[in-house]
Amino acid sequence: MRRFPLAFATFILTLGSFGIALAKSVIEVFLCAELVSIAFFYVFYIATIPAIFPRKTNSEAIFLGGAAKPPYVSSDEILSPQLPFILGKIDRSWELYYNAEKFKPRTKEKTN
Amino acid sequence: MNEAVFVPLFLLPISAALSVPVGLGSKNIRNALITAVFAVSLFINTFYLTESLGGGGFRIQMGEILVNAATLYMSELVLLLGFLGVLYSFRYIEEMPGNQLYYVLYQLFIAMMIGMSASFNILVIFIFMEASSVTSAVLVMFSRRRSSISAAYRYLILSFLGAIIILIGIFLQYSSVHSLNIADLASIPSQNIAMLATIYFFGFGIKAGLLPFGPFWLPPAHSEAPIPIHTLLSAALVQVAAFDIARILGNLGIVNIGLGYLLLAVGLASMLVGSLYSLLEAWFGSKRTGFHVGPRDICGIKRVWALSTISEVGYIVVFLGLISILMDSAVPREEAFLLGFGGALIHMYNHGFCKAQLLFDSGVVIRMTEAEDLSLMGGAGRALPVMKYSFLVGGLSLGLVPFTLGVRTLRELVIGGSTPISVSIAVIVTAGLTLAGCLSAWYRAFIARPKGELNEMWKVPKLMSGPGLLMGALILVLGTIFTLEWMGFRVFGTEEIAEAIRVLVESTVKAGA
Repeated sequence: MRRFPLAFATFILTLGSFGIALAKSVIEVFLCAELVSIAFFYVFYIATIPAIFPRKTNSEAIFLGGAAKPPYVSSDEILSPQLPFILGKIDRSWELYYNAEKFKPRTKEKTN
Repeated sequence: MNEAVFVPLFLLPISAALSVPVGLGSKNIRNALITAVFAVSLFINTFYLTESLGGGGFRIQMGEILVNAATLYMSELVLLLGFLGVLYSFRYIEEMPGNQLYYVLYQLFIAMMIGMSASFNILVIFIFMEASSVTSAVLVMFSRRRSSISAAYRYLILSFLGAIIILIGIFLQYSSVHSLNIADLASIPSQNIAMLATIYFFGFGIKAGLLPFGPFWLPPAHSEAPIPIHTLLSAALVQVAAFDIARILGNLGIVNIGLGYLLLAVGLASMLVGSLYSLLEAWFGSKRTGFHVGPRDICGIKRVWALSTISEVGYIVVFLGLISILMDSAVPREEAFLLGFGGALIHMYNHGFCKAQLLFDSGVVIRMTEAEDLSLMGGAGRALPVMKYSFLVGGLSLGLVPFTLGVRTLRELVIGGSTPISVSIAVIVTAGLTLAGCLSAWYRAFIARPKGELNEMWKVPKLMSGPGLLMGALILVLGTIFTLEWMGFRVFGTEEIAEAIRVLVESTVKAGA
C-alpha cells in the first residue's frame, strides 16, 4: 500500500504518454502533457523532499500541501540528506572520491 | 503493421511501471524483463532503421509523434547505449540497496530521449525534454553522495533556465506562424528568423552543454552520476539535444549567414575550451578547472570525460554553422547540407560510441583501484591487461585518428578542402588537446605507479567489461570502412553508407524525406 502513490503516478504517466501520441488537437496534447508533467513532478518531489528534509519522511503529505507541519530545516540538515528513494543511508564511503573502507594507500602519507 | 515502429516508445514506460511489482518479487525476473524489453525495442528499431535508410520517404505518424529515418537513427543510438548501460547496471548498481526506482527512472529516461527526437511539434519536444531533465536529475543522485545531490540541483536549475528560454521561443513561434509544427517555420516573417533561431539555439544549447552555460552544470552533473547514467547523459542526451538544434534550425535559419557565424563562434569556443579544460583536469585537476561541487579538489577521471563532452558537442555545432558559410561561398545547397548535417550526424555516433567505451571501462578501473581520483589511481594495467589497450580506442577516435570512427570528422573538417582554414586549424588543435587529455588519463590510470592496493581479488563481471569492448570494436570496424573509402578502396557497404547519409540529412530537416 505504501507504494501505491508511486504506482499511480507511473500509471498516469504512461496514460499521458499514450495520450500525447493519440491526441488529435493541440489542446489534447497540452492536456496529456500536463498529466505527464504532474506525474513526473510527483515522482520527483517524493524523491527530493525527504532528501532535503530528512526528518520529514512523510513526503506525500508535504507534497499534498498542509497535511504535514511546515518542514523547517537546519544548515546541518540541508547538506546531510537521507535518500529514502534508494532505501538506504547516504553512502559516505565514497564521499572523498575513493572508497574509504577499502582504499589502502601504498605509501605512508605525511601528517603534520 | 508499420505502427510497430512506435513499440519502443510505449514498451519502455510500461516496462518501467511493471518493473516495480516484478522486482519486489524477484530481482532476476525483473532483470530478465528489462533485458527482454530493451532487446525487443532495439531489434524493432534496427529493423525499421534498415528499412528507412533505403530511401522512399519512410514516415509513420501517430498523433504528434512522427518517426522517420533520422528519428530512428537517433533512437538506435539511445537504445543501443541504453541496452548496454542497463546490462552494466545489473552489476554496477546491484550492490546498492533499494534500486527499484533506479530502473523505473532509467527506462523512462530512455523513452523520453526517444520522444525528444520523434516529433516535429515543438511543444511535444519541449515536454519530452522536461521529462528527461526530471528523470535524469534524480538518477544523478543515485551516487548517494552529498555532492551528487548538489550537482543534480545545479543541473535542474540550468535545465529549467533552458526550458524557460525555449518556452519564450514557443510563444514567439506561435504568435508568428500560428503553428507549433517545426515544418511551418519556413513561413515565418523574415524579421523574426534570427531572433527565434537564437532563442531556440541557446535554449537547447544549455541542454547540449554548450558554452556559455554548459560548464556550470555539465561537469558536476555528469561526473557525479553513476557510470551508466553518466554514459547516457554524455553519450546520448547531449546528442539528442544537438539533434533537436539541427532539426529546428534546419527548418528555420540554417541558411542565415549571421546565424552561421554565431553557431561557428559558439561551436569553436566550446571545442577549444572543453578540450583544454579536459587536458587541464587530467594534469592538474579541479583546483585549476573549477566547476566542481565535491568537498575536496580532485583529478576526476569522470570529470575528464565530462569536460571533453563540451568539446565534442562543439564539433556538431561547427558542422551546422558551416552550412550557411559554405552556401555563402557558392557551394550548392545539397553539398553544404551533406557536409553540415551529415558530418554532425556521424560525429554524434563517434562521440556517443567513444564516450560510452571510455566510461564503461573507467567504471571497471574505478572498482579495481577503489578510487575515481586520478591522483590516487594507477597500475590498473597490471590487473586489466586487455582493457589497458582497448581503453585507448575511444581516446584515439576522439583525437580523430585514422582507422577509428573519428576519421570521418577529420576528413570533412580538415582535409575536405571546403572548410575555412581557421576552422581546420581549430579542429587540429582541439583534436590534439583531446588526445593528450585521453592519453594522460590512460597513463595515470593504467601505467603510472599504483598509489593504493589494487582490488585484484575482484573478478571483473563480463556484463561490465563486455559493453566497452563492443563499443571499441564498433569504433574500429566503422573507422576502418571510412578510412579505406577515403583512401580510394571500394569497400563493402560504402555506397550504402553514402546513400544512408543522404537519406538521414533529408529526414533530419523534412518530416517525409
